[in-house]
Amino acid sequence: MEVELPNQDRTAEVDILEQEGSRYVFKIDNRIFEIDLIEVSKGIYSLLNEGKSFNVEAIPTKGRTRYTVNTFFQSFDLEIIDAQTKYLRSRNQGQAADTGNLIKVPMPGKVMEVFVEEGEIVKAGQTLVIVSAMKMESEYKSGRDGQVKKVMVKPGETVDSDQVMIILE
Amino acid sequence: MIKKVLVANRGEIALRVMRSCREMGIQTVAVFSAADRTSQHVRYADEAYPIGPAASSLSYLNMEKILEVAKKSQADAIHPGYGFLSENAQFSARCKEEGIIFIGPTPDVIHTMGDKITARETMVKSGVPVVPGTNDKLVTDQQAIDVVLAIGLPVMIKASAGGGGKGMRLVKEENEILPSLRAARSEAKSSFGDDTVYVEKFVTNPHHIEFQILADKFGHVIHLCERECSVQRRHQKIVEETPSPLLTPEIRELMGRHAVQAAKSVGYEGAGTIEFLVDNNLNYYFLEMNTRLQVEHPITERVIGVDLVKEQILIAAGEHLKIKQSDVVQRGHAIECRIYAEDPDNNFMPSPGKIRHLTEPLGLGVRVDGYVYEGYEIPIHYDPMISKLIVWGSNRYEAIQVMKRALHEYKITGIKTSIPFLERIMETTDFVLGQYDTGFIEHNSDTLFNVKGCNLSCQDVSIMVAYVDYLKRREKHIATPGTAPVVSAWKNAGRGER
Repeated sequence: MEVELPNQDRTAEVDILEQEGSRYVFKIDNRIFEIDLIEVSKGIYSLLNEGKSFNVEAIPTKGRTRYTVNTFFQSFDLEIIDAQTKYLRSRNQGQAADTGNLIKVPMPGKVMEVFVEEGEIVKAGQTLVIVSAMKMESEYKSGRDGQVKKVMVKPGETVDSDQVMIILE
Repeated sequence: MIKKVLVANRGEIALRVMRSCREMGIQTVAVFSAADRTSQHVRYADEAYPIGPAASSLSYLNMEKILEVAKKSQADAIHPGYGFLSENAQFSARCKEEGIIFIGPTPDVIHTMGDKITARETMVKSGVPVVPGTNDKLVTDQQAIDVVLAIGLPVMIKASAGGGGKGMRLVKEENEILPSLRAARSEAKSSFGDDTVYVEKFVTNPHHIEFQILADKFGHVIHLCERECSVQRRHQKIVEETPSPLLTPEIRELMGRHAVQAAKSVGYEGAGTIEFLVDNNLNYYFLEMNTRLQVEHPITERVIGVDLVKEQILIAAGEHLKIKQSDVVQRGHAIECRIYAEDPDNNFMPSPGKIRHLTEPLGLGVRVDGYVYEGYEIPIHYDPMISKLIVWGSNRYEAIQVMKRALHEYKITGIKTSIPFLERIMETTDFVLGQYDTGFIEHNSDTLFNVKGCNLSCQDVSIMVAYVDYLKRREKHIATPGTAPVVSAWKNAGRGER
């Protein structure tokens, strides 16, 4: 099966060749890993690989297939590309193509200001919305020149992560 | 004597204050906004009252509502914590009018010291060295440009009512003056309700060292030595320690004397902090005075052996200070790390959300001042700080070792935290050697942000763990198709946390 790490620009082919109890033989992109892996507490795994010990936390984020995994030094976002995900992706392809038209918020917050109205012509780099989360204000800018098709939020409203705020034509 | 204290704050500091109250046999009253019904301070207090909607301007900054609760609950005193109303002269005055003790300085003192412009003038008069800058408020855009160019770039634009890095902008180029001015004003307005800003010469990469002050109502003022706060990101402190690795005993004594002089010059009462900028040649300048408890106060408590909240309460109740300057000795070394709900690998983006799993470090020399618990949802409305980890060692090296161990034990899942970033700071050579200033994070960005050494193997490890977890969850899902299975209560009890 494929596992995608969108922030690392990496898609890895993953396979479990053998498993017996906590002992696994993994194949990742033609490399073989013999590991001992055990879930010590909900979502927390202890992994031993060639004598090295890793304490890793797997946090399911959205849906069944997306994870944030924390290792000692770094944290990664991953998505398991299973059959259902593949199917959903192919079905949504038309929609996914116009992501450039969607101004989204990556974290939950509160809309402080909306600077544009529907039908307004905007320039690349122009600030469209200001969202505040935990006392920090972030500006959301247009990625290109265009026209505002729809404004989905109002000042004072709270937004969830990945929520679409503005759609460009 | 004070019998009941209302704590006009939330989060870890509300809890911190209530702990000392409980030890003193003082009843506590919590106030909470609509977003904080499930917050720990509400659960810890003896009494708790709602004071309005989530937005702090309508709740934690709502003076009249808080005073109304204080009267209703018959609290003798209000402790403001830090932030919110802690440095609000009007609130201090209103408490006085209502006959409630404000655990903090008088309105006049807050006004003088809280308004950074007036504070500068006062220090100049009493002979305490200050950073070159303007003593005037900036009114028009043109005036701002003139003033900045007269002082010479780079400069720092600061909120007169400011603190905590809010409403503060560094200006390096002439064309940045007006945008920075507007941004600073807007942030100052939303954070402090006052958009007055002023300009100071920017000292490139100074040390930020502050002195803790205690003053009673009878003119007895002492200092409790320094805190080194130079590990900062965007003027927000991240790690603090005491003693400072930079200061010599001679400079410490001089700065301490100036700090006491600064507090005396305004007739200060209570606990306060004098912040200094120190350059590499040990020249120091008064930066500002914070007329409240500081976030980083626990490291002083640990090394000096005092409970600053108890001292605040005793001073407010009109007691004499029992500690003399000659009693103040720094024992061992203390370090504090601030744990923020933010993603250090993604430009420190705030990360509010639900805490799924929490394991706090324990053991010799470890203190955690926090407020979150498993299942608690961190609201989007307030500060991203979720706790402070304070450690002590008999010397600096040992304290760093304890901090590394404690950070390693500290597990918070469900949200992203600054813990991995703090672990990297503890590994950085400049920090370990104690050779750092406020440019520390910038200078060490290679080590702090570039973690290639682990990158590929950590990716592989992450892939394997996520894949196995996914398979496990899928199996569980398939094992119970459609109908809910009959569950034995015995089995459930045996399964414990599940």
